[in-house]
Order: sequence, then structure tokens, then C-alpha cells
Amino acid sequence: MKFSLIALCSSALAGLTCLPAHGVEIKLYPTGPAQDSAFVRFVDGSAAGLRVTAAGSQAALELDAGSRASAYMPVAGNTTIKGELTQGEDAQTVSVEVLPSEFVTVLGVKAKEGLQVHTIHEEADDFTAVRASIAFYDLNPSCEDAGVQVAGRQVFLFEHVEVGKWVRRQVNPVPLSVQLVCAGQPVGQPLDLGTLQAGERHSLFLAPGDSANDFFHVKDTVAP
Amino acid sequence: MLTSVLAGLSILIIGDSHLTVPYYLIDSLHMGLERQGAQVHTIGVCGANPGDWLKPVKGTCGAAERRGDAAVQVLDVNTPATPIDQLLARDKPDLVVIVMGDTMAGYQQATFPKTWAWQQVTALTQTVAKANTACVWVGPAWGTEGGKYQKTFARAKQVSAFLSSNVAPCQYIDSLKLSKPGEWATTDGQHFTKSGYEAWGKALTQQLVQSPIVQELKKK
Repeated sequence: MKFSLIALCSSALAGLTCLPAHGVEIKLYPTGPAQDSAFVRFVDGSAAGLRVTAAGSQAALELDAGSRASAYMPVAGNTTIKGELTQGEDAQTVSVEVLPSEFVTVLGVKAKEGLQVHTIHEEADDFTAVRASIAFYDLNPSCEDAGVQVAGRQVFLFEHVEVGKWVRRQVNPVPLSVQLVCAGQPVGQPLDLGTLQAGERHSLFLAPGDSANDFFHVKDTVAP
Repeated sequence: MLTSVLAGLSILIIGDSHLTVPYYLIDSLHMGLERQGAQVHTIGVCGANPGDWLKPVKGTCGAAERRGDAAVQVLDVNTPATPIDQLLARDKPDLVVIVMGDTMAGYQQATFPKTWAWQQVTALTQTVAKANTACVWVGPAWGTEGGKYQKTFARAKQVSAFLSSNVAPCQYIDSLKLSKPGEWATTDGQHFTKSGYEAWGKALTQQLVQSPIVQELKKK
């Protein structure tokens, strides 16, 4: 016993303290956050211009046809995000509860009745750095039995998607154009997503309104 | 005369507490690679997450550094991680080896914080990739269940599976395949005894010698 103590304490010369016989005791540290991350983004669903203002703040975000979506902004989980969406003379207050692990999209849409707000809560479970990921958000009741095909081929990426729902899947990182399909028929022109890169995340939106014009693509980004 | 594929390669190893005590991987892995002819620089910061190597925060439980075959320098307990872009610019390594997994596992939480982990891992791998530096990510080993970190084999598997599909373009080394669950004894469930770190370091050195990314580097 005396020998082992001397041997262990001699390690102090190399920068160690005198150790218990079983080894060094590392001070306890957290092995992750108290709760998972959460994100929120805003999308101009009609390409008609959308101003997002945070409640109690002068901070504002301007979206338009050239920049339809904000980056996903990190927010604390289990909090309520409050603000206002403005489109021309129309305005809507927004209050969104965001849970840990959620990616929340707040979409403003120009309608006959005025500015409409749609909120989509997505919990991603398919993170990958070796394939690309695409989501389809169907918010258009006028497109029956909505689906998305690979353009020029009878291959469905998404099929029989319910209005108000979202679906997400992984795809190979290749050049991709997609075609909206309503009731089994192609609607509008194909959307060219370019060449998808591994690790990228993309969103396809079918916003309320004219299905041919309100099907659009956004590349998901996260604010630093 | 046969020479190791690692001979002459400059390797930067960064990671968490598994690199912060003189008989941990900062000895067995670091010196294993040195003996293969690599020039190795290792920095470990206890409790570090991937994001801490981008925006460093004050450490809380120790750090250590080692260059070449010099002795391990045990650093102040509050030493922060060094930003990875600074390390890459300074060292210009051929290969970065990242040793992190346990600090993202959320062993004390009911669920694995996958969204946070995705954000953390992606931010670090993309920074390394932008610097056109090859990298290898070493995932968590089994450890033993329980202890003060409340580690479980199930969560270790979940974290390892997550990392295997999210560290690209880094190559993943699955430490779970290098031993049986509980085979290497620990002091607290998460940190190994000297013999455990010797076994892990030896196995990782072999994995790196055989890794496709190192073979590719040698051709350049």
C-alpha cells in the first residue's frame, strides 16, 4: 500500500495531483444542454412583401419575392415568440409557442380577406450530412391529393399529402427539378432546385391561392 | 524498408475531457500516432462541445495540451478551447482528428438533444471543410452504465449512430466497434482507467492507419 501511494503521488511531479488508486476524478460537467435547441423562421407565402416585427422591439425583418424566407433563428424552447406581420395596410399579430427540438415556420399569405398567418411546427428526425433533405408543406386546399414528382419522370417524392400537413424525406445529392401534382395531374411549371448538396435542407411550399403560382422552393438556412 | 502511412503527416487532435489527463488519449492516441511517424499536436478541453471550438467559452473542468513527444502540459482549469480557424491557420495540419461525443449525449436528459447536436456538429465540420482540411471524427466509447454522468449503453449507441451520419465530410470512427460494452473499466462510467485509455488509443491508432482518408492523404 505504501509503495502504491508513493508511485501515485510521484505523478504530481508531472502535473497530476495525488490520485485515488482507481484514477483521476474529473469534475462533473454537463453532457449537453438543459433542453434541445429550437428555431423559428418567417416566410413570405405570396411574394407580395412581408414585414416581420418582434414585439417590444424595433427589430424588423423584410421579406419579398427575392428573399422569401428568413434563416431559421435559434430561440429558447418552451417560449412564446410574439410579434407582428405586416403586408401593405394589413397586419396580424403573431404569438407562437416553440417547443424544444422544433423548427417552426410562420408563413404570411395575401388573401382576399387580408393577410393570413399559417404556423407549421416541424420536429426533424432525419438529420444527415451524407444526403440532402426536402420537406413539402401543403397549405392549399384547392390542390386535391397533392404530390410532388421528379420533373419529367413518373416518380413521386411525396404522394397523397394532406392539406395542413408537412412531410420530409432524404434524397441523393443530385441535380433536381420537381413538379407539383394535383389530383394526378401536373400543375404549373417544374421548379428547378439546382444541384442538391449533401447536408443541405430544402423546403417546398404549396401556399394557399393559385396552385400553379404558389408552389415555391426555399433552401433552409440557420442563422449563426 | 516499410514506412507507416502516417509518417510525415501533421495531425491536430482536438476534443473533450478524454484528452485532458496525462494518461488519457492525450498519451495513448497522441503517442501512438507519433510512433507511426506523425507530427501530432493535441488540445483537450474538458466538457467542450463542438461549438466551443468556434466561439470559445471559459472552461470549467480542466484542459491539457501536448506537442510532439514533449510531456503533456496540464492547463488551468478555466482554459477555453482555441478557435478552430486559428488552430488550422497556425498548424496547417494535414489531418484534424476530433474526439467528441459524450459531451453531446445528454445522459442526464430523457431524450438525446439531436437538434442541438446537429447544429453543433455541422458548424464545426463545415468550418474544417471550408479550410480544405481532411478530418476524422472519433465517436464515444461504451464506458460503463451509471456513474455520476448516468451514462447508458443505449444513449451511447444513439449518439454514435447520429454522429456516423452527420459528421461528413469528416470520416467517422465508431469507437463502439472497438470493444464490447463495459469491456474497458471506467472511473465514473465515462472516463476510463489507464488500461482502458491504452486500449482505446491503440485501437484508434490502428483505425487511423487503415482509414481511407489517411490512405488518400498519403497519395497526395
